Amino acid sequence: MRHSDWQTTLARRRELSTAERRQLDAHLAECAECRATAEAYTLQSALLQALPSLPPPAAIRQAVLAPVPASPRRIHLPAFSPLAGLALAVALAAGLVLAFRAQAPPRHRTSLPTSQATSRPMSVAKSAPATSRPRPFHHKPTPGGHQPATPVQAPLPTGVPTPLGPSTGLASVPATTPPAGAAPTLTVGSALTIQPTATSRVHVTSVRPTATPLFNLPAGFSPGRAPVPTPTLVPAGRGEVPTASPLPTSIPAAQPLVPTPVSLVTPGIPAAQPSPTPPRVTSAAQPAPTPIPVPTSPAP
Amino acid sequence: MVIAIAEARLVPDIDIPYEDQIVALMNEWERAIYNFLFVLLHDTDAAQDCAQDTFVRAYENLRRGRPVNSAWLFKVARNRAMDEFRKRKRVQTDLEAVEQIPVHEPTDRVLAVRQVLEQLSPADREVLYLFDVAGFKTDEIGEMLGARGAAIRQRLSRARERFRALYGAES
Repeated sequence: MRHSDWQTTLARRRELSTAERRQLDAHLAECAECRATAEAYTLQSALLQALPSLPPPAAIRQAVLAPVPASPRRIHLPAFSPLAGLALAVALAAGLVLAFRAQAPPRHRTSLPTSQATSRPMSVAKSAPATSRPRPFHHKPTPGGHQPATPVQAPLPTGVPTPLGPSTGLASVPATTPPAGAAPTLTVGSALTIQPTATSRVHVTSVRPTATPLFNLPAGFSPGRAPVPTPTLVPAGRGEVPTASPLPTSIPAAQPLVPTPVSLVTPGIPAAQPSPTPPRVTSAAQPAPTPIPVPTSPAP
Repeated sequence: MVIAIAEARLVPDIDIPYEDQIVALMNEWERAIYNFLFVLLHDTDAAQDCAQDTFVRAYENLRRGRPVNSAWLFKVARNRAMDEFRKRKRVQTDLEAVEQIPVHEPTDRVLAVRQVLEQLSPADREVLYLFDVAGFKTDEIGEMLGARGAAIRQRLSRARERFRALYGAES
C-alpha cells in the first residue's frame, strides 16, 4: 500500500473496520510520517467538533411551524395521487363539454347559399353564420380528382341514401326516401331541412375523392348547368402513323388553322395510309417541320 | 459540537401526525442543519433562510406521506446552500462573516478554525463537516452528494491535507 493510500485510510479512520484498523495500527507502529499525519487528523476532527454550536434563530421555527394547527390529532387521508387528479380533471372537462353541447345551439359549419326552387321554396331552418367555414361536400370520387368550387344547378337526388360527411354532426343524418307521391325532403342534421322539387341550386364548394364514396349520386345525375367545353386532344388511332406528306407550296392567308390529332410514331410499325387530316400548318415564317423518318423493313 | 447522527436516524412513523413529525425533526436537527449551513455559507441570514426552506420542504414531504430523515435534511440543506452560492456568484471569504457570529468569548483556536474553514472550498467544507461533525459515513455522504464512496474518501483526504496546511500556517 502506498503512502497516499495510508493517508486516505487515516482520513476516514473513524469508519474503519476492525481488520482495517489492525492493519493501520501495524503500519503506524513503523511509519513516523503516518503517525504525524494521524495526530494532525485527530486534532483536526477535534477542532471541528469543538466548534461552538450556534443557536438557530427562532424565526426558523416560527416560519416553519406557523401553519401547523394546534390540534395535532386529525384523520389522515392517503396521499392524493397525480393520476387520480388527472382522471378527475378529464372527467370534469368531459362533463362540461357535454353540458355545453346540450344547452348551446347547434353550430352550422356549412354555408349553403340561398336555396332556390322553381315552384316550391326550400326551407332552411337556421342559416349558417357568415364567417363559418363551408363544409366539404363529398360525393363519388371522380377521375378528375379535386375540382374547384363550381355552383351547379341540379335536381336533388331522391330516394338515394346520402350519408354525408362524417366529420360534423350535420352530416350524420342521411336523406330518407320519401313515400310515393310525397315531396322529397333532404334532411341534413336536425336543423336544416331542404324540400326541393325539380331543380335545386346546390353550391358545391369542394369535391374530394375518397376511397369510400360518402355521397352516392344517382346514375342519372348530371349538373344542370352545361359544362364549359374545353378543347380536347383526340389521339389518333393505333396504327395511324402519319407519313411525310408534301407541304403545300402556297397557303391562303385567310385559311384557318385546323387542329390536328396528336399521334405517336411507334418504331417497328410499318407506315400506314396517309393521314386524312391536312398537314399541320404553323406559320408561313416558321420552317416546315422535318418529317419523322419511318423505319422500313428491308425487302426480302 | 458532536452530533451523533448515525445512531439517530429518523424513520417516519405513519402513526404519528406529520405536524408532530416536523416538530420532532426540528427539535432533533434544527441546530445541526443551521450550523452546517453556516459553515458552508458563513452568513447567518443566508443560513437562516436556507434552514427555513429546508424544514418547509421537510414539512411538505411529511404532509404528503413521504419519509424524511437526517440524510434527506442535510442533502436538501446542502443543495439549498449551493443555490445560494450560485446566487451570490462568489464565496464569502472575508472576516465580516466571522465577526457577526454571536459567539461568547471566542477563543483564538475557534477563530483560527473558522478562518481555515473559510479558506477551504465549499466542497471541502461540506465533506469535512458531514464526516467529522455530522457523523455521516463516506458512503452515506456519497449518496447524499450524488457521488461514489471512493470519490468522497479521496475528497475527504484532500480536504484534510488542505486543512492541515492552512491550520499550520494560521497557528
